[in-house]
Amino acid sequence: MDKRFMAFGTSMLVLKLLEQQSMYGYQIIRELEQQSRQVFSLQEGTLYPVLHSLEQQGAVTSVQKLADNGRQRKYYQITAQGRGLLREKTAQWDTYQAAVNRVMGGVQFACETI
Amino acid sequence: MPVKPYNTEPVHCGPESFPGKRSLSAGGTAVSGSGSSSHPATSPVSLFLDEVADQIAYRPLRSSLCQELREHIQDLTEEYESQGMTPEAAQSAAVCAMGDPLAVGAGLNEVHRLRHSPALTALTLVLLLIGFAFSAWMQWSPEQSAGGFLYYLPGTLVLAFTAWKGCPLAIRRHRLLLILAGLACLLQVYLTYRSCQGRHITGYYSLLMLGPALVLLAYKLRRCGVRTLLGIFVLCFALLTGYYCHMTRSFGLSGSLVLAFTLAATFWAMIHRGILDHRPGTCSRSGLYGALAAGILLMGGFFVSSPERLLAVRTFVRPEAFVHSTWEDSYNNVLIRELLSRTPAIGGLDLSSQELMDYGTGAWYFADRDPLQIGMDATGLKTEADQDAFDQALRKRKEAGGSPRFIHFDQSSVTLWDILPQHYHNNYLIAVTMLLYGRLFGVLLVGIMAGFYLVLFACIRAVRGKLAFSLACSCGFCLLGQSLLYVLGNLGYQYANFTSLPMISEGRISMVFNMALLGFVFSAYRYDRVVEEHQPPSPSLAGR
Repeated sequence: MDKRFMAFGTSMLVLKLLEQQSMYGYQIIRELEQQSRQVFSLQEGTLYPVLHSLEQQGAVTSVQKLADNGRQRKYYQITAQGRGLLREKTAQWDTYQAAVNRVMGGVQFACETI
Repeated sequence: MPVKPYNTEPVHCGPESFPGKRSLSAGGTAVSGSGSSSHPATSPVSLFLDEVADQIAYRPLRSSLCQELREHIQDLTEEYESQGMTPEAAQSAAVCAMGDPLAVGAGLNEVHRLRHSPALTALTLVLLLIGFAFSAWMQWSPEQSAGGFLYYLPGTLVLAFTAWKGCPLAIRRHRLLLILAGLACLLQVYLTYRSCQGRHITGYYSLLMLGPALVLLAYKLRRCGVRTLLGIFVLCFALLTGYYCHMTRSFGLSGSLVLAFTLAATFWAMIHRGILDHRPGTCSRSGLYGALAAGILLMGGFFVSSPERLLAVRTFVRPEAFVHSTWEDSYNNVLIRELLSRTPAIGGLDLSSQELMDYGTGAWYFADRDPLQIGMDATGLKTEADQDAFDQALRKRKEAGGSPRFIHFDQSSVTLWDILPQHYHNNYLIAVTMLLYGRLFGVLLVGIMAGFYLVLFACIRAVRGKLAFSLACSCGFCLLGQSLLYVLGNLGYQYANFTSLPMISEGRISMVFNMALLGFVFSAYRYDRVVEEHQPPSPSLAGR
């Protein structure tokens, strides 16, 4: 799969998950697997450049929290800017998805799926 | 409809990726590998993290980035162990699932890079060169001939050091900085009460230094809401009043205005960025803006709260109403406006010798207002009798209320230099250069400065770290406030005493102080992606 698309898709999915609740890295991976029914399985370390990049853009912020087992966890939460970015990415995704559907299944197929 | 797997390539960890790791099937089971050593330095986790860390150029960041990855690996290891794997196998499988350490490290390094602003560096160098040239080669007055240009060397060193270390130090040692700022204030109070020499100058700079210090204090107390913000404004008001009351010259007044501007603008930027309303529900943003407006009114009241301060405002607005002699800054304001109105866009002011004499003696203004203020001819004082006659005439003039200058030129020798704004040309650098070389020259100089501040604030705006942004704002607005007052003064609208023009005029303490402010902005921009601001861990846990 095209790496640029991967980066685009990963950040969109991460923002979507963080829109639901604040999470730490490990939790994001597990949620992603669970909600995609094990279809999306990232190489887990590659999540962090995406998360940190979103943080640099101001789309997410992070806060350290102490877990029950005494372990530090870095929770990420979406910002207003991040919600705007998510809307933008979702719109782009819808356009892309509709275009693919049209090519794959014709206009009728696209109309049925969107 | 079947969905194509997002990651179509199976997770594979061969021995070529890093030593001692296992391959992992889709189900998370370790299928091969040589096992791991119990020695931490050669464990799969250490090898993985070392490999990641090696890709990250900014060394101080390595530990915090690796810590986050280590926590992830530990969580993953526990999950595998709960599925029945041995601890060693679970650890290796967890490392394997993290992916290629080179790719992870390179990805993190791409995000966390030091930044540079070539435009800001270039404009700073241009302004420093202009200032150095003015200081070194244009010795207009005795005050300037004392080697002010020599301060460009320590100034540049301070700039370089602050750009190199300023932001990381300020973030990691902000408590120490607050203590040092407090001690500096106490030292200034001591100098003031002991009437030490130079206390006015140090007082001016310690007043300006309060800007970043109070912003740092506000940042530390930002979670306390509106009351704290108002409390800080009351503290500012008290400090302004306290400082000003003990500074007999009006250095304190212009410094106070720069400080008030710095605080108001920085707090506005902090509220706008959502830094002061840190906790939702503590106070609304509109409440904070209201507190800011109340604080601005409070501090604004300071500038009209005594006859002397009110006079400074009125002189700023209508200098011609307060001209009593050629010695006053208000006279310089009137003179500058008059001369600039006659200056062409290109080329210097061209006046006849009679006009030069009229301006040089002040006759153009005082001839029909107060002739006693017109300068006295002191060119022909060769004998003792001449000197006695001159002294006698001067005494009479003074008894009658005059305060004339001594004129050391006559119609045959007067030049443009003799009529330029009087008694400290370094304060009127822009005005004098416009009068000498044309208004376009001044427009060009102000244009370069405007470009510098546009780039400076673009850099500040790009700073993501909250503390770094707040401090960089206070430094930037402090520089801007000084520059605005200086430029206004050069257009004939001077408020109280002159401020210095950062990087260009007054190359002494000003140079070192302003270079530290500018260096911090450089540093905040440079380290923004790599220096993490400390956040105290929250005791609450909202997850697994």
